Amino acid sequence: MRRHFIASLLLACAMPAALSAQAPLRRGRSIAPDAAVRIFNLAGTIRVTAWERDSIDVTAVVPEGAGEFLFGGGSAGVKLGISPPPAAETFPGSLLEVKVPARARVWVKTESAEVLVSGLTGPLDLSSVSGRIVVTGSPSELAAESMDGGIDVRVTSPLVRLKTAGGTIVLRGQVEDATISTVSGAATAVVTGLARSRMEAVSGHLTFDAELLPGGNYSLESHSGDIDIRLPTTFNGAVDLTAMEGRVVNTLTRSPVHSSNRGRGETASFGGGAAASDLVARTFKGTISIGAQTKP
Amino acid sequence: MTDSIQRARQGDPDAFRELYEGHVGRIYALCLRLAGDAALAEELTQDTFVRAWERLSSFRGDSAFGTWLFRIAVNVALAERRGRGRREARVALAADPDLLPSAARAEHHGDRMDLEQAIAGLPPGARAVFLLYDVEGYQHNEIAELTGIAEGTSKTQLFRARRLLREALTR
Amino acid sequence: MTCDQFDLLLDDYLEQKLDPDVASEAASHLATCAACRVRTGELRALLEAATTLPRDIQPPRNLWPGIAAQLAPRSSRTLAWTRWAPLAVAATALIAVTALLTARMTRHDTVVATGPAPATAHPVTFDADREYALATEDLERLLAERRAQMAPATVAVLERNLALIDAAIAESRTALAADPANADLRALLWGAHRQKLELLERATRLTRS
Repeated sequence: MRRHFIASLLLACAMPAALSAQAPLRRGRSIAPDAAVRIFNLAGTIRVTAWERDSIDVTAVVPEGAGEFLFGGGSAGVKLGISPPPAAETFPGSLLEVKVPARARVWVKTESAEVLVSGLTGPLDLSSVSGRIVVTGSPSELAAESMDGGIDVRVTSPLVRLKTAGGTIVLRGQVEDATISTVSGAATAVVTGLARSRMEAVSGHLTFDAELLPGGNYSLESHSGDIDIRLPTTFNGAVDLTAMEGRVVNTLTRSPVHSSNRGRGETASFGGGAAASDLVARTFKGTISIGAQTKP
Repeated sequence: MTDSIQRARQGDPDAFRELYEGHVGRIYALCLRLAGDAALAEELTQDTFVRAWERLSSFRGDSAFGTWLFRIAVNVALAERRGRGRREARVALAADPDLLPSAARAEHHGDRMDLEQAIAGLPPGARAVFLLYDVEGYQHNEIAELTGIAEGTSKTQLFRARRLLREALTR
Repeated sequence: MTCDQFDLLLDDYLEQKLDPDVASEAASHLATCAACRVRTGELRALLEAATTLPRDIQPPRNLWPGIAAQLAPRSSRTLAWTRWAPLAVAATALIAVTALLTARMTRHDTVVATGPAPATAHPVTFDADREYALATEDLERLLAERRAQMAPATVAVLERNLALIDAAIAESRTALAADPANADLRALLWGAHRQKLELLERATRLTRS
């Protein structure tokens, strides 16, 4: 049963010696439509796409010296990936092409591989160090994090969490609840249908171009990164902008910007109503600009 | 009211840490089973303590601190599920042995691991009531108060949970 | 009594919640029906197993840093512009002194000043600041242990970004020391602390598989 999951994985490890290192390897098996799929590949490319079958199909291209291809599991869950050569400082990357049922629950871990996921509707958990992460589709939820790999997401999803230290984050699509966290990388969110969001940066530049739902809650915070907010001209939610030792520029409404913090900073606040949204932006020494969305 | 609680109410995070250390096991166990997912359970546990910190001033000492914390945990877990509209656990496999309560795994008794897995496989409403009634020992009226469902619903859910579990364990 | 009827009563039967006459009817059915005896045994075993499940399970990793990172002061957030109204110098001094006195009464303050003068030069650390420092130390220690397993490029990115956060923390802390009652500054400082904790936490999870 499930205890044999580990055993079958070990068995898979015992086999690769017989497989050619250069020709593409194929593995597959039937799996449940919502099976858990765990993929690991430190370098190269990982591509995960959805297909109509209740099975998983993997094509792996593993160059000489890149390590061993492993594949194991059962109908409820599969673990697959490239186990790197022991004690190697560098090694060539491998290509993994994985087809899974759309509702599969997919977890990917890499260091520098490019991670490309499309067409899935289940939850996704993608983790990279320097590899770029690109996601399209309608995941039921999406968590993606990197150290400095770029994160490029275009989805329809109720819940998205994107984190990086130095990578560039771009989030587009229809998202209900978004959390974006960066230190020095720039982060951009161009979204519709947003009910809740939090964007934070230290020195990275934040861009928030959004169509918001009534009664929503949105916060943006940075230390020195500029914050750029673009909203529909019809937006009438409560807005509260504070730059401790920076500037506030308001071209969305006629509300004035006040000097604050003994002349060192600026603030502006306006709007609000019965079902108003609450948008709060705070920066230590960045510039907060709020203005109307520019229609294409 | 104990000294730690008093100090925590006054804003002392060290005191709150003491409370955390003393109660995290119970809260995590509940969250892990309610969520069926270790990563989510960690989040729910953290949210529970953060919310408890925010609400400390409303703790009047008329129930045990642990019970009060428990109530917050149940609400956090159920609100989370309602808010997300999720019907199943997240990426982590409920049946993945790595993610089940490690205390259960440490037992040699195969039955106990199967029970944890079977509980994780229950529909969320039935799972919550089963955990609160048969594992934690609450009565239906208390469950109704904790979860906001009607007492009658609690009884129906329990019946359903027990039947589903019995079926799952005897297959 | 049929088996279906018995099945509906089984739960109450086991918990001894049935009326005496119904209970004895159920007992008679049980005596004559092997299938129902089996089902009763299964349910009884299930309920017993449920009560023996461990009710206290330690989480696999320490959750305290993540919690500490979110513990805001339990006072309500006051709007920024109400504080920026021009204050008389005396009023400013009063606020600064009150802040110093409050800090001295709490547990971990390191207030240096003893005089009543509104001090901008004296560092004031609040409880939460200290709490973050402890949580951060734990993670930094863990990270140091694992650094050898991380690729040098990764270590470089990590340290560069940690340095950025540390600089932000230092600036916010200085500003807050000059303006201790400022809730927005406090929120920014804590945001930076939290980001540092989260980054450290993520970094400790980066091991080669």
